[in-house]
Amino acid sequence: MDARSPKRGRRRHGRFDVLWFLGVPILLIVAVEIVPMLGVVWISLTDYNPLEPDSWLSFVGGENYSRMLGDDLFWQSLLNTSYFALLYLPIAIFGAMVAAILLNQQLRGRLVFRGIFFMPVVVSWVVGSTMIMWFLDPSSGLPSMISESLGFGRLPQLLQDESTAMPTVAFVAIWKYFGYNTVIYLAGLQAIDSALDEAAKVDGASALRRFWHITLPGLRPVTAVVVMLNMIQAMRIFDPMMIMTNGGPNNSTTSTVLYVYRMAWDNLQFGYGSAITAVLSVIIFAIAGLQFWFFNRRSVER
Amino acid sequence: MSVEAKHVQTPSRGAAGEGRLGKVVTYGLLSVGALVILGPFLWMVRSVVTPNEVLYSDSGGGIIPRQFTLDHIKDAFTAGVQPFDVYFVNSLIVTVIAVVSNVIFCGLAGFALARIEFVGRRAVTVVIVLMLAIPIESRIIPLYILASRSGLSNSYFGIALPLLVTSMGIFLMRQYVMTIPRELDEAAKVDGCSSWRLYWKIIFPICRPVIAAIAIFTFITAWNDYMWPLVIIQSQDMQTLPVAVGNMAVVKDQLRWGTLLAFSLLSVTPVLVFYLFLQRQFMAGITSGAVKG
Repeated sequence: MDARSPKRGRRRHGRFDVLWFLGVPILLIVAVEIVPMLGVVWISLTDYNPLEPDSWLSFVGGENYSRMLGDDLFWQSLLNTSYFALLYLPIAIFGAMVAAILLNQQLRGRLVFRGIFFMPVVVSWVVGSTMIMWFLDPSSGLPSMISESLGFGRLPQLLQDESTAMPTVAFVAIWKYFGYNTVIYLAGLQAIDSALDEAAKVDGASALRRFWHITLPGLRPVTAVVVMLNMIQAMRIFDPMMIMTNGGPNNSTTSTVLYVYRMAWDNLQFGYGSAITAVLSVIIFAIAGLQFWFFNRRSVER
Repeated sequence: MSVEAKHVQTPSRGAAGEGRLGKVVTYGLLSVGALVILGPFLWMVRSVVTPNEVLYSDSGGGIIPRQFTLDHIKDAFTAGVQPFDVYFVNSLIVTVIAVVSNVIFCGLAGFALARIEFVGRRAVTVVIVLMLAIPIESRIIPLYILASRSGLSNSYFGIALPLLVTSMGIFLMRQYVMTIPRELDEAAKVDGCSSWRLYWKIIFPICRPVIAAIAIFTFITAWNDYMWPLVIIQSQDMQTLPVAVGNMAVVKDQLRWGTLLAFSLLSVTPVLVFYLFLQRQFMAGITSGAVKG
């Protein structure tokens, strides 16, 4: 085409077309994503207070960062977030993989199961947390009623005990994201060459061996994506803590983002909140980067 | 996987499905999962139609209470600080703004990045891809400062602000346009079609699947968004549904659970109705970032 009519080829898109197409979107991306992202670093070096409009220029150097080092609650919020991730990730990922493998068979009602599993993904954290709070209520919840009628007595107040509060919050997260991961794994399973599995079957390989040598390696790329997405999801957890526990009891469920929220919008310490945000963002980039690096290396090796 | 495969009779029976025992185990596990997921939802529905005196009686009313009431639903429209419909309309307006804006602008930008040659195209594309991994929490404080200082707090535009254009939408659109054969553009150009017309008349209609994915993704995100509306909304009468429900839930007023659950149920109903009819599109739309990204 270009060889035959170079003039047409050059005029394919007018010189200023790009402004019509990209002008508004780029302006918005810069204003809403890029400037705020870089702005975190700036604000973290000040003691900005929204009640004093000029305080965005009040530099305090690395004060916010050095304060973080000695702030036990900050470290606890990081530990809490990690503990949440530890409770949430294995079931949300491995459980979803098993569910996807089960659903990838010729099975009556598999679409119904898939539809039910995915349902909480479209339900908001707020509503999900609320309904599960009610569901697990000692006097009005279903499990408690069943437990009582079986003679085991009522359930305790799970959210008011330090040892059970975080697992309960993790349960909400698993409830919400299980189906999301299942659907991604299902897509991954469908990408595995089924001819390979058939051939192995004809050769007399057992179901377990086929699973171990064909299905599991085939799922490796999907697992890399799922692990990254869920780790990032875990690092930014906020909504269920805000709704269910408010960070309690005794700060045992104060996640890092909830701590940022408290610092910024309750204490009006936006500078300190930004410093914590910056650290959290570095962790999130590291997770994304690590996965990207791992992923790229793998695909090069093959 | 054609005629032959069908004769083998078990084209995609996985590892666990072998034999009758395998079937029982499979159904058992899946049913337990489905019950755990549906349980809290059904329990909410059951409790919304149960009168307060039964709900707070010593027995809690048993699993299926004998009395039935619509009082909680009625309360949601009369008893709150603001009636349900005020929050509903707020959520609806914000969601519509976000979906329309995202579809239009992500589409335009995605097309430009895939098709128009301009200085810095590579750089812009790389930045968009880098922004994919950055969640709103990483920039919420400066975004709040900028938005509130520009007088955007308490406006629908301000609440929808982070979702007016998303790097995810741009990226998905770009990937999709790249798969459309360039000959189509050439043919249209030969016929004297401008880039603008080419996009709206030819490319945009072809992109319907990815546009649907972006629309659904934005719809769910905007309708369910909590943290951003929580910080940017100042007055009660601008609150969206998640903020309103969240504020009620945080208080944990023991005697208002009926109304709170009615609010919750009413606010997820529209989403669930859409989901019921468009399941496949929802799954594709919401996971598209993960599957293609």
